[in-house]
Amino acid sequence: MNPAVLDRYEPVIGLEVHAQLSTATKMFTAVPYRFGVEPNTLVDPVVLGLPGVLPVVNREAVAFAVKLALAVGGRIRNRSRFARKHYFYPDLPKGYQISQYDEPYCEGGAIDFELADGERRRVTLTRIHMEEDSGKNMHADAGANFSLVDFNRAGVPLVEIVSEPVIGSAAEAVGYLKALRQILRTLGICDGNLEEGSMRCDANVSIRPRGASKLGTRTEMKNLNSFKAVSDAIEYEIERQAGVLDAGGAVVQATLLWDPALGKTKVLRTKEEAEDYRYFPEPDLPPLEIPQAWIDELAAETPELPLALKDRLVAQYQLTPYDAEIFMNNLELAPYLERCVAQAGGPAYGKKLANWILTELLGAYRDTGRIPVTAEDLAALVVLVEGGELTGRNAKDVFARLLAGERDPRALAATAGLLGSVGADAGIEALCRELIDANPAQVDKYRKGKTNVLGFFVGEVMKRTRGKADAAAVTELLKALLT
Amino acid sequence: MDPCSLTAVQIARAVKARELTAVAVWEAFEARIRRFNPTLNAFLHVNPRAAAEAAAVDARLAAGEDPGPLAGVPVAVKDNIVTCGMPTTCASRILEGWVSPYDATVVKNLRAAGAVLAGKTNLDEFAMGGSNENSAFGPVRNPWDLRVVPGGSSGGSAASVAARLVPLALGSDTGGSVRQPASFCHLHGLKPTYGRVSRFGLVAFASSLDQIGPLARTADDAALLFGVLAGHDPHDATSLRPEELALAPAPAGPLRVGVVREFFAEGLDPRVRGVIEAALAKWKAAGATLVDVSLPSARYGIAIYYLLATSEASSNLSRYDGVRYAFRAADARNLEDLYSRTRGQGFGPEVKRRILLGTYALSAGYYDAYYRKAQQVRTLIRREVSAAFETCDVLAGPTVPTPPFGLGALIGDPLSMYLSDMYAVVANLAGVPALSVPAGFTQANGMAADGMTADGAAAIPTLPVGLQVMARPGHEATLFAFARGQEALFPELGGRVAPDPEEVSR
Repeated sequence: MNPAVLDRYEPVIGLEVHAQLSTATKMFTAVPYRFGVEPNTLVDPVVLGLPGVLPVVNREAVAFAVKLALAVGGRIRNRSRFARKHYFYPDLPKGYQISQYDEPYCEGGAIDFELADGERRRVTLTRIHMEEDSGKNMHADAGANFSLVDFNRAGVPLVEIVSEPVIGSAAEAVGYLKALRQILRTLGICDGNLEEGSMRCDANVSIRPRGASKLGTRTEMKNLNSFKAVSDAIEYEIERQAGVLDAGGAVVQATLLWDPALGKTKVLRTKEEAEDYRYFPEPDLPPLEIPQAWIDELAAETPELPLALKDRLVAQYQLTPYDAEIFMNNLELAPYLERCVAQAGGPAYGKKLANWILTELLGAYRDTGRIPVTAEDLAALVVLVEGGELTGRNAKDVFARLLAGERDPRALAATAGLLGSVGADAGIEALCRELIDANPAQVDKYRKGKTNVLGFFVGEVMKRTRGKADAAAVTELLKALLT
Repeated sequence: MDPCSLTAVQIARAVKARELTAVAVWEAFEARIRRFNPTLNAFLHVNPRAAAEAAAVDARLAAGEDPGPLAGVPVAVKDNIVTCGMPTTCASRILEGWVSPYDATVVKNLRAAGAVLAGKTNLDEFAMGGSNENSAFGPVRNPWDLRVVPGGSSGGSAASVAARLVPLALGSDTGGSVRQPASFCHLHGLKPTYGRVSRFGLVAFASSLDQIGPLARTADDAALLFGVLAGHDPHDATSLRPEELALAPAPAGPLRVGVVREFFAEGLDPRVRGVIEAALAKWKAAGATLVDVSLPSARYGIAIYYLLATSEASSNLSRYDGVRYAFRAADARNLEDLYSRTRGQGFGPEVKRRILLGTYALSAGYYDAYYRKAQQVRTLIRREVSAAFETCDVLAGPTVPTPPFGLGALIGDPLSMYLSDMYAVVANLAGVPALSVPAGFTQANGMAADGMTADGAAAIPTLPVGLQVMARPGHEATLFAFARGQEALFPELGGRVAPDPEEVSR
C-alpha cells in the first residue's frame, strides 16, 4: 500500500467475527457437527426447518459463550433474548435466523494483543451475541440451471464478536484476530480455522482525513477467509476509498465481496438494497436466563488467557518474551511446563525446564502433535542435572531414551552408570594429576604453546569418568595444573 | 350397541372390558366417515392404518396389557398437526403431498394412550380463519345445518365430532379456533393454558398464542383427552415445567362466576345474548355467585391480536419457500422468481393477507407503532384478566358474538369474520385456559337473516350457541367443573345430537 495514503487519511476499522462453538451438538437440537462430511447427513427436522419443529437452547453452547464473555471481561446479562432475523436464502431453512438483537447476552469487554514489534494494543468490543449458522449453497458448474444446498452446517452454534470501530490498520486487525483466535482456542470453545470457516471475519472499513473527528462512510467486506485475505482486503479498501475521496467523490455505503484471486472487491449490495431483517423477539424461546451462580461456576473453569500467561512466564520464570510466546502459541505446552515445575518442586526449576522443552522436546512435539515425555520424567531428569548428579551431556543421552519411550531417568542413568557426584572434586583432581604424570610429552607440548593438547587431557578425564565429570570444570582444573 | 352413539369415556371402558373390540369401534366410525364425509368434507385424509392400530389395541388387551386411557377410541387430528405416515397439508397447496417424518408430541401421546388415529381433518389454511372456508380443499359444512359454516379454523375437527364421525378430535386454538367451532357445533372445546400442551409438531401460526386442545361432545370426554395431551415436553421450550404443571383443583363450594361486562356490549347478537343470559340466570338460581367484572382493554383484543398473530405468522410461514419440501412452482427463472411463484401459487388469499399485514407490522419504522405497542396492550390485558380472578373463579360470556353464519356470508368481509373471535382472543393473549360449552340453541323463528343465506328468505334454523368460561393459568379443572355443572343444569342439551346429514355421492 502506498504509505502516503496513511499520511493523509486515518483508517477506521471494526471487525465482526463469527466463531463456531465446538459443542457436541447444534445450537437448538441434538445433532452433532463435523466439517467436511457427506452433505445433508448431519440434519434432523429441526435443522431442516420442517413444519412444526421448535428450537431448544443447547446449554453447552451458552456455557461456551459465557466463558468467552468472561475471558474478554464483557458484561453478561442475566436475562437476554433471542430474536429472529428474517431474509430469504436457500441455505437458511426457516427463512429466519435465530440470533440475538437488542438484548445480547454480552456487552462490552476488550481484547489485548501485541503487534509484531511487541507494542501492546487494546480493542474494545461492542457486544457478543449467540446465533445459529446457516447451511451452504453449492453451485454446480457454470451453465447449470440449479444449485445444491448442504444443511450440515445449519444450526451450528455461533458467537458473533463485534468490535468497536477502533482498529487503525490491517496489521492491527490481524493482530486482533490472532489474539481472539488464541483466546477461543485456549478456552477450548472453537478451533479457529479460517479456511474451514469455523472462524469467519467481516471487516467494516472507513477512512477520514487525519485530524477529522467525523467518521467517513463505511463499507463492509465479506469472504475474508484467511489472515492474508483480511490484511489484503483492508489495505485494498483503504487505498480504494482514498482514491475515491482524492478524486472528489464520495464513498458509497455498500457490502463488498473480497475476491482473493483477483485481489479486488466487488459490490454485493448497496445501502439502498439493504434488507429489512424485521427482527422481533423469538416467541418459541423464553428469555435466556444465565444465573450469576452459573457464571461464577464457569469463571472458575476458565483457564489463564494467552497474554496473561506470557507475562507470567516472563515474570515468574524469567523466560525471554520470545520463549514465553512459544508457550502462548502452543496450547498444551504451558500446562505441561506447569506440571513439570510442580513435579520438580518449584518455580526455581521453571527456566531450566522451559529450556529443555524448547530445545529438546519442541521438535518432537511439533512432528507428532503429542508431548513425548511425561512431566514426571522430564522433571526428574532436570532435578538430576541441577542437583549435580548427572552432567548435561549425559542427560541428553538419557533424554533420547525417554523420547524413545523409556521411563524413569534416575533408573536409566543408574543402570548406565552415569549417576554420581560430578564436578572438579578431589577424585577428579587426582585423576588429572595422574594423567599429567603419565603423559610428559603432551605436557611439554602444552607448555610450549600448543594449547589444543588440553582437549586430549579433558577427553581422557571424560573417558575415565564415563562422562560424569563436568567438562568445563575439568578444563579449568587442568589449565591450573598444567601452568 | 352402536359405538358411534357412545362417548369416548364409554368406548374406552367397553373396549378395556372387552365388551367391544377396538376394531369393531373403528369399523363403525369408519362407516360413518365413508357415508357422511363426502357431504361434510370434514376429513382431508382417513388413516389407512387405523384398522391395524385398532387391532394392535385389541392384541394388547388380549395379552393382558392396558393400552391406555383412550383404548380403542378413534381420535381425529387437525391437519396442522404432523403425523408420520399420513399427509399434513394445513389445508394449503403449499404443503400438498408432504408427509412428516416425525410425529407431533400430542400424536405420540395419543398413540401411547391407545387411541386410534382416525385421520386428518380440514381447517382454514394454516389455521387462519373462522369459517373453514379458507381451505384449499373446500369448505366444511356444519352438520347442524349444511347451509352454515362449522366455524374455524378447527372446522373439520368440530364437524367430525358433532356428526359422530369420531368421538374426539384435536383442534388448535390461536385466537378461538377450537372454541368458536365448538360454539358453532354444540361441543366442548378447550384452549388450554399456554404451555400446558406441547406445540412440538403443531405447524406454527402464531407461536406465542397457539395451543392444541380437545373437541368433544361431553365435559368428561374433553377432560379425558386433555389429560392425554397435557404434560411437559423437552422439545418445546415454552412448555410448562413439571413443577408448574400440577393441576389446580376445582374450588369447593359454589362457583363465583365473573360476568365480563365488555362481552355483552356492542356487537353481540341478541339471539346469542338471550341464550347466554338465560344460562347465567340458571347458574345463579342454582347457587353460583355472579360477579360483575370489567376488562377495559379487551376491546382492543382483536386489533392487537391481528398485529401480533400476523407478525408471528409472517415469520413462521417464511420457511415455505419451495427449496426443501412440498410444493415448488414450475418454470422459475431465478431464485427470486422461485420464491415469488411458489409462495404466490402455494398460499391462498387469507394467508397472503396475513403475511402482508405481519410483514408490515414488523418493518423498520413501523415496529414500535404496531408490534411493540400491541405487546404493551397485551400486557395490560394480561394484568386485567389476572386482577379479575381476584374476585371470581371463572370469567364467563358468550364464546362468539353471533350464531353460526351462512357459507359464503362473510368470505368477502374479512373484518367481520375477524370479529367472530373478539371474545375468544382475550384468553390467547392472556395465556389463560378457556372452554366453550354448549349453552343452548337460537330460536327457530324470528330475526332477520344477518347474511345467513344468500337469498335471505328462508326460515332461520335453530343453531347452537356456546358459552365461554376462562380460568386462571393451570386451572383447567375449574373449567371442567363448570362444564359438568352446565351439563347438570341443562340435561336436555346433552341429549341433542346433530342429525345425520344427507348423503351425497362424490
